[in-house]
Amino acid sequence: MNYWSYLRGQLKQFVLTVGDVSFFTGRFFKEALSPPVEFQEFLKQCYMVGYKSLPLVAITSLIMGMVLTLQTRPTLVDFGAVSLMPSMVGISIVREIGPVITALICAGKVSSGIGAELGSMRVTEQIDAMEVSGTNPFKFLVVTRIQATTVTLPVLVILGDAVGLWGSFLVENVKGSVSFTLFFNLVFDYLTYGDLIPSIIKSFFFGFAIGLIGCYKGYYAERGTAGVGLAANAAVVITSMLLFFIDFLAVLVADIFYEL
Amino acid sequence: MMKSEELYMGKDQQKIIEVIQLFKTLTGKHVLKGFDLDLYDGECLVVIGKSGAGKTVLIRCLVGLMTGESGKVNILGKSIPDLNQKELDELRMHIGFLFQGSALYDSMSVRENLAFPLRRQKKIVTNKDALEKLIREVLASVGLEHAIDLMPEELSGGMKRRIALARTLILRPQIIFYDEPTTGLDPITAREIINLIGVIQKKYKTSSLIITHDLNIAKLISNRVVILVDGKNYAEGTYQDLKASNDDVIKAFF
Repeated sequence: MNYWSYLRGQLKQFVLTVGDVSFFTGRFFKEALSPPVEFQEFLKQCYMVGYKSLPLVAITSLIMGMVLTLQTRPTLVDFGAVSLMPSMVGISIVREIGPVITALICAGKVSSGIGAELGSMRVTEQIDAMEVSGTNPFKFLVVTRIQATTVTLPVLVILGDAVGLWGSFLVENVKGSVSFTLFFNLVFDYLTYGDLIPSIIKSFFFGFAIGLIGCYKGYYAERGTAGVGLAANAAVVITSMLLFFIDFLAVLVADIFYEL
Repeated sequence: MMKSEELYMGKDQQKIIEVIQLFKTLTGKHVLKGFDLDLYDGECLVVIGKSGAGKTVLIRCLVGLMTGESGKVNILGKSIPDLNQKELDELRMHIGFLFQGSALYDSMSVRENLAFPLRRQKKIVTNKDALEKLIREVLASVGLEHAIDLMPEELSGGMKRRIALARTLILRPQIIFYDEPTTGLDPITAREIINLIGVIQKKYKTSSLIITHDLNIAKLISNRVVILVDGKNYAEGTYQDLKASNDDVIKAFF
């Protein structure tokens, strides 16, 4: 009995949260489409989200490309299909691993950062101070951050893909003496726009989710400084789960187009 | 109990804030239970009450950060609950708010903190030089011109409070709300802040509504004191009148 009532409570809470996030999303679009535009803050957030995440994304992507090659190579050698290595790695990175790993890295770094920053601003009344000074804090803080993550994540994904492929080339070059030109010719021989475009499109959605959840958890943080930690933590957990859900939907939709 | 217009020495002045029978419930608890309040132009009114009495809720209802369930809140002739966001933002240009924790923007320097409320005020600030002049002028008013390039984390508690006060002054507000302006400060700094509030009120000809439990504020700079008990305006009068009262509840405050 208690178990069911607990489950009912959790379900109710989940539905209420989904409703809240939907309302928050609706407000984002309403505020984003109405003047004034906080362009300077948007640029600043692009710098904070994009440029400041670049080293982490680059290092992760480089290692990811190297590991992927190192782990796959022996099997392909056994089957005498090592020449397929660049194309296999290329398709894996561009279609799936690049966007998902980059988005997860950004969920950990950016979404939690936004959640903690806005949460801290909320509990120290900085958001209220903004409001009473006649500035719309939602537009200034939330809209600019969501726009910045949405715009910069695809760029990070493309750069991450490039670095990942370069990491793969480094390993392949050392192990198999493949030249740079040959490696990338093989990569691009098998890559099509059908691989690249869906991956870029889903990166926009990943970016939107990262900004949205980080802002939502931070903007409504409560219970003092403990609430800031909770907001940051919840932002990472929820965003990561949401990213996999969006990825599944994106693959499902892309698959429909492949079959057409 | 005497009426507020009889108590305030500037009773010829215009009533700029009028709160009538304000009710507010928070998480099932009745915080304000029919609170009444008037503030006159040029007056310094201090609202005192115990912690959790609803002082902060009251001040938040006045600036539209919270909405009461019923009752009237009129500021500068405008009914706060009836204003749309744009009208509320316009009215807020005439109101300054000093937050309890100063609420300086962490990611901005003192200069940027002060410039922030003026971002959309092209009529007040026409160019960069005018903005710089205005910032330096308000910083001089609070005695912290040298702190212009510091970040909030480099400031002491008293300095933060002064900078926050300078930020409220930059829009030349008609009314300034102070939420516990001396909380968390040592007695000497608290005294300096109290004196500064008095000086600023005279210099900028503002009206002040101060929410506090610090009786020194009421003693040193108030024209009138309101005692908030159990969500209602329990008593009001000058500091001396209330101090002389025989009412046990009032005596407990002194």
